[in-house]
This record gives sequence, structure tokens and C-alpha cells, in this order.
Amino acid sequence: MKNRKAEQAEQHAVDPSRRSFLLSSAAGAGAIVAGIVTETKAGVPAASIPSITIPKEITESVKEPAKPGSFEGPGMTGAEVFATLCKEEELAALFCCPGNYTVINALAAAGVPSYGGRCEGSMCAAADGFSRATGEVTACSGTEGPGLTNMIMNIASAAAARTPLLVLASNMQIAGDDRETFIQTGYQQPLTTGMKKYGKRLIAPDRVWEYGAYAFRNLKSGVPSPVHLDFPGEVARARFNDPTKLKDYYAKDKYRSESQPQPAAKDVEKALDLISRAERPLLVAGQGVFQNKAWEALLKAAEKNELAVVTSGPTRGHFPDDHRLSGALTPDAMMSADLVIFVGQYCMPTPGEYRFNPDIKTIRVHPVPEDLGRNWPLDLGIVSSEKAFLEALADLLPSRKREAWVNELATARQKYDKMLNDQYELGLKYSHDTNHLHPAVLCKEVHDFFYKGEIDPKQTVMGAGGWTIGVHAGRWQRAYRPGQGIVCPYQYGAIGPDLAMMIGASAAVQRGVGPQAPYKGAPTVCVSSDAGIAYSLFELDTAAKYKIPVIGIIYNNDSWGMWPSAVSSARSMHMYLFQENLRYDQMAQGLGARGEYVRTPEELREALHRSYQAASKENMSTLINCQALRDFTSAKNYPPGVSLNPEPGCGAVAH
Amino acid sequence: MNVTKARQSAVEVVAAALTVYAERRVFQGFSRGAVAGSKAIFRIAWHRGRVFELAFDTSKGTLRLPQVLTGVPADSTMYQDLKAFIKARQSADLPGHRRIDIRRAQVRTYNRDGNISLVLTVIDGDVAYGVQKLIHLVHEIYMTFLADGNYFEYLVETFDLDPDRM
Ligand SMILES: Cc1ncc(C[n+]2csc(CCOP(=O)(O)OP(=O)(O)O)c2C)c(N)n1
Repeated sequence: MKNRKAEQAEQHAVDPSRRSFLLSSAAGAGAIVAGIVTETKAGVPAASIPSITIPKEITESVKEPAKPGSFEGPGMTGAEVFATLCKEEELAALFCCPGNYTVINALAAAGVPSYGGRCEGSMCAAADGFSRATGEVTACSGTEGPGLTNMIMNIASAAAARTPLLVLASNMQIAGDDRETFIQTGYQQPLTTGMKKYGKRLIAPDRVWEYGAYAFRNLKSGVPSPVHLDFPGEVARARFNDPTKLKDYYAKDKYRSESQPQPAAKDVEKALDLISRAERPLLVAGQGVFQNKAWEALLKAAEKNELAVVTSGPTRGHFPDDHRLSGALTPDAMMSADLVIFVGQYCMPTPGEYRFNPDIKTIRVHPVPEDLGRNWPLDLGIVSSEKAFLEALADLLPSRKREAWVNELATARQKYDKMLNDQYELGLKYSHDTNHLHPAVLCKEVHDFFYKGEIDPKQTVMGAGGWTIGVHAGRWQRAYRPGQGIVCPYQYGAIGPDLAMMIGASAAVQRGVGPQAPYKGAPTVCVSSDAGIAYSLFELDTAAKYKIPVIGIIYNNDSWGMWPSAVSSARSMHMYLFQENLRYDQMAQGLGARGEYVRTPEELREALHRSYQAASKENMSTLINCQALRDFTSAKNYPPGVSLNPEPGCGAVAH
Repeated sequence: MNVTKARQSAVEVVAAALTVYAERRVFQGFSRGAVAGSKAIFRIAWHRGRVFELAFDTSKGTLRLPQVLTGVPADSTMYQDLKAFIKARQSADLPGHRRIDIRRAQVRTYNRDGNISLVLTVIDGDVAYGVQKLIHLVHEIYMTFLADGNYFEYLVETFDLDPDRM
């Protein structure tokens, strides 16, 4: 067997392009970066330091054909039985860290696209991101105790977003329960209480298929949410050499149904009547419209009767932002709506959270009856699948023009555009005055590059998070087709999952899954913060090893953006601040991605151009470190400071 | 109808209009207070968990809402901006459903020690219109004026909010 170091040296010799690319990109990004790459701090010449390489074991193993388990010979393990079911259910992807070995190996062998990363929490966010970009069921996995507990924040995020996420973890052996046998054991199911639709510690090996069916029944019907299964060794490693040894071992058309609730004719009639009496109807197309793939029916219904449409939820684009009937960029017109039709609104606001007038009438359409009437009093509640209801509307609504309403939307859109541009102009002045990037300027540059330049505006999937930068990025993020926009902090407000989530979304684009098919392989973008990147940065290694091209744009304001909370508390400020001028770009380089450092709009534009080239031509990820000032967060010195975006509409992060 | 009966029925019109908002969960809570002479009081639990006391004066045809906002000095930019916002709600440029028609109702703003009161005077006798417009106006002050302006820090300080949860 060849010595590992010798193999590395050989690889380095035959694959110089990656290293020279790193060098040339670093040179473009300024002297400090180049200095680091060519010479270590200790002064050791770089030539003696092996370059970052993707070992051939990774590349080869990714290409290995699937080899699902079989009852023949030694039989199937419990993990393989479960993996077979996951494959039959078309589990779209698995994101994991090693641990729960039997199960992840079985899933990978069964042919489920699998990714291994650096941190269970981030892998959980990546699985969520893949699902947000496609609507498909994805899985994350980690080892018992430590792996599962590391995932918690992002399981909770996925639950808030109603992501159909299968959370898997090993959990020692039933034989060791309650004995503190060895390490890592723990009661997992109570930890995910309130964050899942269904969960189970599997204890009967012969019921592993049956519980897989429970999992997918929950993931694929009604309103989805995470499902958590923990696997003790007795289940994962049980052996089955005959199907008769398994309970309820039958196919998915027997253990669950694809049947969808249809709206009652009399309810549709009432809805048509309310719509016909409304002057300014607004349809809120929630996450259910995306999950139910009902966007074509939505467009048809909206155009036929000139209903305004605003989307809500963790994914944007199931109604195009640039449509004349879109309410995404018209916050001022929201107050004018006299009828709201919530369709597939999984997480209901309370009146006073959405910017509607107090006299608005309400129809709500939801696939399960239990939630109708929750939080928001209804004039009409309808149990129906989103698609069935929207198809009924598209069929039965009369053609109607609502000129005054459409004009009002157009006026509100102009007003919003003007507000954005005024903020940009002000930001530009601040940027010039301080030689630091203001968030409005950063976001407008990113917006112009991906939506107004040479790139097809429908192509790039973008996600954003962070506080100051998050609210600005939300205002400038656009979605012109389903699955194009990801609202990373949606509803749970976690700082941190953004980059990992977008690596997951990017994996979906790389594979061209579902609505991403026409844009297969395109680079994606993540706009996030310095506090946020600390949680996900290491996944640049994951992106690099799978050649997933993500362009990360980090607003570096040397702080947790909530520092104004410490202003009146003298002994507190240190807890909110970081060292200044940290170099996330250099850290990215250390992980095998590109790094760019920018402080002006011109530099950002050039960096975006280089990063896009590297992403689209070489599948290289980049992290662009945008140096900003923490004072931009406060309206005291730099108005407008920061304020949450109105709900519903682009930039909204809740409901 | 004698004067007393007419007044009683006007109070009922106000009560009915407000009850509808309570039933639609626009208000978090609502109760009717005492009627003393020409004045009727209504208590409304509403934006930012605050309880607003609406006073309806039947003889003057006024709906008075004290302490709509507090801590806004009369010489502050915020107060000037608020007055401009309220004036804009009465502009003929706005579509009818968004406008307070100055031929039907007039709104005045008062500022005493930073406490802002609104007084809406019903001009054409349509009290229900007056209630609707006053409720819409206060709603827009909270939902639009405060949210869109540079008032993040004002909101945090005034309403003692967790800045994460606005
Ligand atoms: C994991 C997590 N920790 C803390 C918070 C509370 N919080 C909300 S916003 C914020 C500031 C975040 O700073 P940053 O992401 O750097 O945003 P910036 O203002 O710099 O854009 C904090 C601490 C949170 N929401 N999530």
C-alpha cells in the first residue's frame, strides 16, 4: 500500500491547477491575503506546505454505484431495511456527520445522495436548505447524545419552517438503557419535544419497516414538520434474511395515501361570492402552495380575476416578484386589501402582525382542519389541499379586471422602489465617507449583479440571514420562480445556519432537483453576517469537497448586531463585540474555498465577478468578506439604522 | 327622538363598531366604561399590549384617544413626522378607502409633555365613519409609521421590548 504522504505529494504534482487558482485569486484580493498564501507566519516558504487537495477516496467514493441491502446471504441489517424504505420513498438527500454509522452507511449504499460535513448542526441546516429549495423530504443524521444535541437549534428552525426533515440519530443499545452503560446515551425523544410532528425511539427490530412507514406518512401528508427516529444498536444491526421476519412489510401505496382533500362545492361557492364582492382581494400563498407544487394554478387563478398575491414562508418565488399582481414589493398597498385569502399558510400570524387594515375579511384554506380559526378569526374556513382549491378558483372564477387595484399596487411598488433607492443613496454616501461598506450598498450591488446584469435573473438561488445585513438583504432579495429565494432565519430567527443551509440548497441546484432542474449546476448565493458565519464557516470544506459552488457574502461589522442593547450598560459592551477586522476571507482560504476582501462597492462588484467565474467554471466557493462598521446598525449616527421588514412581503422573516 | 335617546343611540353606534373589531381580534380586549353626562368611555387593549381609553363626547361629536404615543417631545423630529403622516392620511391623493375625508371628519393632534392625543371630530353625524377612521389611523401609526420610520430604538425603549422580538 502506498504511503499516504507520498500519495498526497503525487496528487499535488498532478493537480497544480487548484493551487495556482488559489494563488491567483488571492493575488486579486490584495497583498495581505497573498502574503498568507505564499508564506506562513513563521516564515516557512509555502512551497514546502502541501496544498489543500480533495483526496481521490472522496471523488471515487462519491461515484460508487448504489449497492442496496438484500435478504440473500447474510441478510439485511435493520439499517438496510430502513434505507430501502427511504430509497423507495425517494428521500432526496442525507446530510450527516459520522456517527449512527450503520444507518448512514446503509442510506448511502441504498443510493440516497449523501453528504458528510463538519458539524451536525450545520448538516441539519443543510438538509433543511435542500428541502426549502425543492419541497422534498431530506434527512440529517448524527451520533447519539453529542450529534443529536448539536443539531437542536437547526431542528427547531426546521420545525418552525415546517420542513419535511427526517432527523436520524443512533442511540446506543436498549440493553444499556438506564444503566449509564458506556457513554453518549440519553433520552433523545424528549429533547425534540415541540420540534417535531412525530418521533420514536425504535426498540422492536422487527418493526423497523413499520416505523419507517410511520415516518414517511407524517413527512408526506398534511402539514409537514420534522420526524425524529433514534436507532439503538439492536435495531440498526438486527439481521433479516426473510421478509416474513418483518412486521407490516408492505409497499408505500398500502401504508400511506396520496389522496388530497378536495374543497366542498358549497365552500368554493362561498369563496367565489366573497371574492366577487371584494374590490381589492389579496391571496397570501403560503409554504403549502410551494410544498403542494400549486404555483401554476395560483398564477392562473390570480390572473383570471386579478387577485393580488403575496407569498409567505421560508421559501420565496412561488409567485414571481416581478408580476404586476405581486404584492411582494408593495407594503403600502397591503393596508388597502379588503379580503385576504390565506392558502397553505402553515404558520398563522395574529391580526396586528400582518400589515392589513382592521376591516379586512378573511378566507383561510388549509389541508387539515385543526388549524382553521387559530390566531386569526375567519369569515370562511375551507379544508382543502392548496392545489385543489387553487385549481377550483382558476376554473370557476370569472375573468375580471380590477384596474384601480392593479394601479394601486403599481403606485405602492414605485414608492417602495424609491424608498430602497433613497436608502441606497444614503448608504453610498456613508460608504464613501467612511470607506466601509454600508449594508444597503452591499445588498444593492449583489442585487444588481445577480438580477440586473448578464446572469438570467431567474437563475440564482439566494438566501440571507443576520440582523442588520439580514433585514437589508431581505429588501433586495428577489424570487422570480419557485424555490429561488430562501428565508434562512424564517420564524425561528436563528443566527448562524445561513451558509450551511445554502450549501444544502446549492446541493439541490447542483443535482437539478424539482424546481431547480432548469438551473442545474448554477452557483448560489448566501448573504450573512459575521456572527452568523461562525456557526457555518467550516462547511466551506464540505462545499469544496463536493464541488458545490456557493458565494458567501459576509457583512463584517465586528460585532453581534444587537450591540445597541449594551449602550446603556457600561459593563456589557465587551460581550457584544469581536476583535476588529477579522479575516473571514482568509479562513475560507484555509478551508479550500476562495477568499475576497472588499471595502468599497467597486471592489465588491469585481469580487462578485471573479467569484461567479470561479463558481460557474470551476465549482469553487468563495467567501467575500465585506468590511463594514458596527455603527451602521444604529439610526442615531447612520439613519435609517435597522428595522424589521413588514409582513407579508419580501424581507419578511416570520409567518 | 329626544336628545337623550339620540345620544344613547350614538353611544351604541360607537360600541357596536368597536365590538366588531374586538370580535375580529383586532383588539386583544375591549370593555365599555361608564357613561357620564355626554361622555362615554371605552377601554381597548390593543397595540403593544397597551390599554387605550377612548372617550366619546356625544355633545361635541368628538372621539378622543389620549396617550396614543408617549415620550415624543413636541419639538422633536418624530413629532413633526407624525403630524405629517397624519396629514398625509387626509390627502386627496389617497384613494377613498385609505383617506380620512375632511368633509366628514377632522383629526387634531395634541402634545402635552410628550404625550400625544388624537381627537377626531365627526362633522357629518356619521359616528360609525369616525370610529372606523380613527381606528384605522391609530392602526397605521403603529403598523406603518412606527415600523417604517427610524424608530427601532424608540420602540425598544418606550415599550421595553426585547429587540429580537419587535
Ligand atoms: C443563535 C442565536 N444567538 C443569538 C440570537 C439573538 N440575536 C438576534 S440578532 C443578533 C445579532 C446578530 O448579529 P449579526 O448576525 O452579526 O448581525 P449584523 O447586525 O452584524 O448583521 C442576536 C445576538 C439569535 N437570534 N440566534
